Amino acid sequence: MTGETKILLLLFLAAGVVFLIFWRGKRRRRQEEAAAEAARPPEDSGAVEPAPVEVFPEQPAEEAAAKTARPPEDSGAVEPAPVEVFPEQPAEEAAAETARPPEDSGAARQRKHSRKKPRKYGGLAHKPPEPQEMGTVVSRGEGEDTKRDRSLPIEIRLLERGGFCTVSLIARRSSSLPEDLAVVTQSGVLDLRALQEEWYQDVTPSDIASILRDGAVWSQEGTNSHCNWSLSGRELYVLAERTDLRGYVSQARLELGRKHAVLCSENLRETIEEAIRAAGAEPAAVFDASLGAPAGWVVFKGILPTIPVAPTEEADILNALRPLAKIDISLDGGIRLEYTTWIEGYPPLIHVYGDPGHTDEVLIDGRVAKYVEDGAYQAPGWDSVGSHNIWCGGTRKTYSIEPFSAFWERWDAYVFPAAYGLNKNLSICGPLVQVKSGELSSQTVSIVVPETNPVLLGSVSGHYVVASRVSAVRGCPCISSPSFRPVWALPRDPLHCDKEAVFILLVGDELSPDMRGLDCRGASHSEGTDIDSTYIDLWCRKIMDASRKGLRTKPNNERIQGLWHSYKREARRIWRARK
Amino acid sequence: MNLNDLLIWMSARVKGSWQQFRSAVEEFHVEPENTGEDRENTDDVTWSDLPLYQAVRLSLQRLGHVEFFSASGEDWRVVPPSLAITKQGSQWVGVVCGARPPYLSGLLNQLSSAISWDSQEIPDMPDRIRIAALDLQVLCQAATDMGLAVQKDAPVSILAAIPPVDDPRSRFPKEAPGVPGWTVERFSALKLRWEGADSGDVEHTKNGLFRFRMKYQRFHFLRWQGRSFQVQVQVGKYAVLRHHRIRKLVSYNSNQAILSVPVTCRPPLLMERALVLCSGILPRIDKASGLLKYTEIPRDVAQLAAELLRQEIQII
Repeated sequence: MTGETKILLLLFLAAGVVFLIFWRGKRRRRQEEAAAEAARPPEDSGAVEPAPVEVFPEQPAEEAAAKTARPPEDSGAVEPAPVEVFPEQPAEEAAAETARPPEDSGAARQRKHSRKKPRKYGGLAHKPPEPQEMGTVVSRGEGEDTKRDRSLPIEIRLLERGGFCTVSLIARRSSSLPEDLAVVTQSGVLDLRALQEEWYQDVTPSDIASILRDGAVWSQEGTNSHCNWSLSGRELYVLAERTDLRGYVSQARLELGRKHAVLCSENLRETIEEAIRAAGAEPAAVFDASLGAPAGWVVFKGILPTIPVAPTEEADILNALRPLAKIDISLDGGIRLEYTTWIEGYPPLIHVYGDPGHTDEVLIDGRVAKYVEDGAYQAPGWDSVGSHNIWCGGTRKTYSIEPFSAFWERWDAYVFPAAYGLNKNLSICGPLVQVKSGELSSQTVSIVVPETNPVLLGSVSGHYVVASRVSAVRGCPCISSPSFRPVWALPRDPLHCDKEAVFILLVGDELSPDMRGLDCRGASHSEGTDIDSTYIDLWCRKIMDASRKGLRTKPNNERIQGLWHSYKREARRIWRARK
Repeated sequence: MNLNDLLIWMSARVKGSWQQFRSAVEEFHVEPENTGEDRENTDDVTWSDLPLYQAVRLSLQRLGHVEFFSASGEDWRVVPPSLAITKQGSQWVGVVCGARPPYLSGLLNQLSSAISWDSQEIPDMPDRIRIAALDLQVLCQAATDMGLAVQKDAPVSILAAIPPVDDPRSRFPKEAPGVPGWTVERFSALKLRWEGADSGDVEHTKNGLFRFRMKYQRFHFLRWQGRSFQVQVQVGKYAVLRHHRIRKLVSYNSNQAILSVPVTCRPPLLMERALVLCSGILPRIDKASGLLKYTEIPRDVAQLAAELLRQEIQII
């Protein structure tokens, strides 16, 4: 291949890339226009370009596929364009698609149908919870199938403009889902594009009237993930304004003091109107099919319920039009560990506020709760370890009680160098003080001894350490964290001290000299517990020097004197053996 | 709701953020009962917040229950349950510090007859729990059996571990902020109060303590022999007082075992902890005399504290 050919080839490829970018931008703009179009009143939509095929899957399959896959007229002979129609497809699949005529590709998409049947909405039930066994601990996620497919809701959105309304389907989006994706529906494949972090752009299928009635299940296409979207079919939808989306979006039920719209099938119209009036509301506007509502459906707008209506215990679709009384279950006091978890022994006080006509029966874990003196409700086992639920007039709240469980470690809250030039630090944590030397960080708590008696001796020969003096201030004691249990504190140089002022101090337990596991020279038999012979010599010499000087013990009673003599004997014996 | 609940909550959480602590103070409706706690508390801090949170923080810190902004890096962390032992007369007395699990009272009720304990409700602090025995070994063993770490001679041990106020280990070399916008004040050793100054004074002063304030931030810089150091305000005050040879601020009533200092001259935090652990009670302010009084202080502890503050103790 010559250089010129290479340049030409590169130029051709570059032109291809530029065209591809241009074509994708154009396609995106068209999709956005189509989405905007879906929200416009019908007479406006006729004046603009037809919406992209994915919004109207009822178009003839071939035509739809051709429109989707066909590049714009000016694209000329650029072939790779169809691949871009399915950006989420695996590479191999995309490559195969490239080789296929666009019509085949479209037909294949069209043949994909969701086999999952949508559920039918049964209405809200307000049965009080059944009593649960006392002390039942229900851990989060218990009984859930961890391999269950993820399912997100499809909501209904209502937009109104110029006296007309548009009803569309809007799918939820989670952060892990891509911006663009295709979903398989009962009637074909739909392309979804992100509108926000939490929502995909709404779509208005032409068979929306039947989807609303029968429900829908959409499945994510072309990936190994199993994300589904579902809408259970029904003849009544309650919609309300939201802060994150324009218009009205479906929700479970009417709420007191909030503006709503109600979408219902024509044959329920009279029943619905009656139920709306029972809630103290009067629709401000009504839209039928001539004003943009789906065929066979009617929209009541501007519904502001003012009267709570008791819902039926059994599932009833009209319960969605019965606003609950404003009942607030409040969990006060106790010691709340986090979120809805309290510490055992410190449970919350359960208060129920609201309309007295609706707060006469409070259930805790399905048992009727008693109103106790401090205005709180209690039922048997309400403060036991485990999960609990409170129910009152259809309002629920849960809390859990956990046993107190914690583990505390000692740590270095404040660290000071013990003295300049010494490889020792002092650590303080609360009231606990430790002396730590470079490599040896003993976990024992410190001991303080008078500055006159800095030498600490343990019950085993060689258990010898000199306590540090942190500051030179008068009367400041010496401090040490020996790795052994200290018994005696002796002067640094017993032979040259004032025996009237300096004593042999008993600073620990009255432990007899411990020669177990040591030979006659005071050395350890067992491996790994060797004590430096220098320390054995120091241990012996300090005891013998203190005895030679005639220092008195403190306390100076017979028992302590006897104990000191046993150390003296042991020190002499070891000293002689080591000679 | 009170500081007992807050301490149990902190014990259960072990450690956490300042935000969580503030929320908990709010949630447990901790209200200051002793309004005599003056604004000097806020003087001790080098950053901002509402005085209530700071007062609670300082109380918990002085009592050795919780450490805040310590070397471990956490905003706060509970001290392991521990017993700070001192000798009072013929018996050994331990003050319970650190984490306070709810089951502690059950364990205390099971103590042998050789050991006595009491729990006292005191304003502005969690209940003081003391355990006492005639035999130190019996007390230590009981504490160990209850899962408490033991610190014998706790006040003396803490005092033995901290450097005096004029020791270089008590300060860190750091230049004062040079940018405008700070309100600069200088501590008057003679009047024991802050007086207006400007940032130029800092450079021209050989020895002195300066406070830099901007909104809720406070930093304290000690000029010592012409060099700048960042210090704890209490350390800086006593260092400057020593330099000016003002040495009679600490008094000790040997009959009542009370150590007193001017309310504007609190001892540094760890020194204060040592004094507080003698009784397990926070100091009280005597409004008439303007003194801060620490109770049940043994004479040797009072003398050592005064030495570390570089003060001459006045024994009454």
